[in-house]
Amino acid sequence: MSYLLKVSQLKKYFPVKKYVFGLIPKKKGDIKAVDNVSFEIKPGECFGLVGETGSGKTTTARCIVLLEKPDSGKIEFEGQNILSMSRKDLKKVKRNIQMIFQDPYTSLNPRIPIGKSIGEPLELHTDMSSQEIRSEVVTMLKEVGLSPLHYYRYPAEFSGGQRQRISIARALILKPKLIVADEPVSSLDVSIKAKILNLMKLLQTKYNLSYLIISHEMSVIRFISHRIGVMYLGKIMEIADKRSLFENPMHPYTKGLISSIPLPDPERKMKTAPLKGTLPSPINPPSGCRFRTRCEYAKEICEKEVPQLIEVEDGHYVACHLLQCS
Amino acid sequence: MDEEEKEVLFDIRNLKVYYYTLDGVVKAVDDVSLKIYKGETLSLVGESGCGKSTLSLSLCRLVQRPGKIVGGEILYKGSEDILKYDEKQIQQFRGSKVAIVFQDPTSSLNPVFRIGDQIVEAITIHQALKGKEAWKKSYEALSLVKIPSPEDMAHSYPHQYSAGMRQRAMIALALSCNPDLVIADEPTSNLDVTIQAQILLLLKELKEKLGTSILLVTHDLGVTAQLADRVAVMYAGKIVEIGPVEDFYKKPLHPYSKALLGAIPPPHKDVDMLQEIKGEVSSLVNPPEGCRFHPRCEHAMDICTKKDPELIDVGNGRKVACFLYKEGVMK
Repeated sequence: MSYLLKVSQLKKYFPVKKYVFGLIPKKKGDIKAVDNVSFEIKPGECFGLVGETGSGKTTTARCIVLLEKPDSGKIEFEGQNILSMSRKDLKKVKRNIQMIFQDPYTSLNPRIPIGKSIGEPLELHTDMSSQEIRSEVVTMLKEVGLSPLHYYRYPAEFSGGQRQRISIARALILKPKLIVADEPVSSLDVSIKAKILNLMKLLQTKYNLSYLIISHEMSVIRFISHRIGVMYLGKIMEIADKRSLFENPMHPYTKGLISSIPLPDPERKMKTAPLKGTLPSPINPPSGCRFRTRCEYAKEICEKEVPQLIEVEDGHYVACHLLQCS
Repeated sequence: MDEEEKEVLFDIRNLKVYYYTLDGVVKAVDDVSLKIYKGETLSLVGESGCGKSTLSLSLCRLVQRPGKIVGGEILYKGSEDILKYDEKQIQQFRGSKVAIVFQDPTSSLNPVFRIGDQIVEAITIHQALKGKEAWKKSYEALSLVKIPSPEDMAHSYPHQYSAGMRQRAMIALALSCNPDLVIADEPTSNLDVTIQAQILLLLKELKEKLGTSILLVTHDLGVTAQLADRVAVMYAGKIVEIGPVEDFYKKPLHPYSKALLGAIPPPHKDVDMLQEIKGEVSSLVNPPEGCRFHPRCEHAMDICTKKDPELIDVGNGRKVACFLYKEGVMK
C-alpha cells in the first residue's frame, strides 16, 4: 500500500544547558521530546495524535512541516525523504504540506488584510497574476463560510472562530495533500468548535485531504480521525483504527486516558481516578517502558526493556510487554 | 427533591451587573435570580461572554471597574444583603464565607511566597490562630487535598509544584477557612485529562466530607455531568434553564440547552456530523429584542421577538425561560 506520509524512527532531542557560574554553558541532558516515533498516513486519511501535555505531539508535527530539524529519522512524503532534499525540490513538496496553528490570534499577521494573508502562499508558490489570486481567495473565503466582503478586513475585526476559518482558508489555498493541524479547536467555544470540526470534516471529503490532527481532547480526536496514535513521553504507545482504539483499547495508558474523559452523562459517573500521578520529567524518563511508573500492571521486565510497537491485531499496534508475553 | 426543605445559602434576586465600556453598557448579568442551597454543587454553564464568571465574582463583590453591580440583592443565609456590607464587613466575608478557586493556579498563586505562607496568611486573617498553630492548620489543609508529605510541600514555592498539584494547593487555600461556598471557576480546563479526573474526584470527595456548597463555573458539559447536582445554563447575561442534573441531560428543555448538548463531540460514541447552532453569540451591548436567543433559535415564534420570556417553573424543580413552555406544564 502506498502511503502519503511515512515517518520512521523520528528523533528530536532538545539539549538542556546548565550555566556554570552563570556564564559557561554545560550540557545537563536532553529533553527527549520525540524518541523513535514511526507512523504512516494514507491518502485521504485523518490521523490523530493524542496525549498529555509534554508527550511530544506538537514537536512531531513541527518536525513534519520542517519548523524543527529532527536529529535523526526519516520523513517520507510520497516516497521521498524530505529531510535529505535540495531546497528547490523541497519547495515543491512544501506546497503540499500546510499547517493550521492552535492560536488563531497569533498565527495571523495583524497588519495585513486577511485576503492578502490567504493569498500569500499563491504568490510564493505559483506564477498566478494578482487578479487570479484575488478570485482564488474569494472562492476560498466562500468555501470556509466567510464572505468576499471580508477580503480587506484585518484579523482584529474577526472573532476566534472566524479567524480559525481564515487559517483554514490559508492552509487550503494551495490545494495541499496533507494538512497538519495542531490543536485546531482547543481555544474555541463549544458551539464554534462544532462548526469548525464540521467544516474540517466536509473539506476533507471534498478535497480528498489527509489530516494530521494533534489534540489533547479525546472526544475531538474521536470525532474527526480515522486512525489514532497515542503518545506518552515522546513515544507512541498504541496505534489503531478509531473504532478498535476506543472499543478495545489495549495499552494500560490508552485505557486510563479513555476512562479519564468526563462523560456528559450524569448516570455514568467516574468512581476512581483511572491514572495516578503525573507525567515524569522528559529529561530523565523512566528506564524501560516509560509508562511503568504510573502503570498498575508494571512488572520486572517493564523496568529493563523498552517495549516495541508490535501488531497485536490487524492494524492495531501496541507497545506493551503485557501483551507481548501472552 | 423538595425545594422548601433545603437550607438556602445564597438567594440572588434580580441581580444586574453592567460594564460601562467605551462601546456602550455591557449587560453581563441582566436581572438574574438564583438560589444556592447548602451542600449542593450548582454548575453554571455557558459559552465565553455569557456572564457566568461575572455572576460568580459578584457573589463576593469582586467585580472590578468598569464593571458595577447596579441592582438587585444577594441575600446570605436568608437575612443579610452582602451588597449592603461596608468594606470591612465584605473583607471579613471573602475567604471565610466564600472562597474562589481560579482557573489558572499559576497566575493566582504568588510566586515569591511559599505555598504554606499563602495558606497561613488566609488562616491568620480569618481565624484566631497564629504562628505554629496556623502552620499546623495549613498542613492539615494540604493533606486534605492529598498532597504527599504536606510538612515539606508547604515549604515549597509554587514553581516547584506541578500543574495538578498547584490546583490542589489552590483548593487547600480555598478550604482552609471552612467557607460555606467554594466558587470553582473553570477549575480543570487548563489541566490534562488524567489530572482533570483526579481533581474532579477530589472535589467530589471533599464536598461529601465537608458539606461545602460548590458553584462550578464551566463550559465543559462533561465536567458538569460528573460533578454537579443542579445545572443552570446562561446565555447572553440571562439564565435560560435551571434543573437537576439527571433531568437536564436526559431531557434538556430550552432550545439553547438542546443545541449546546448536540454541539459537543460525544466521547463515547461515533457520530458523522455535529449539530451546529446558527449565527454567533449575540452582543451584550445591543442584545436582540425579546428573547436573546431568538435569532439563533429554530423554534422562534412571533412573540419571541417582542417579549422577554420569564424564568417559569415547569415542575420537578425545573425552570425554563422560553415561550414554548407553560407554567407548571412539562411537555
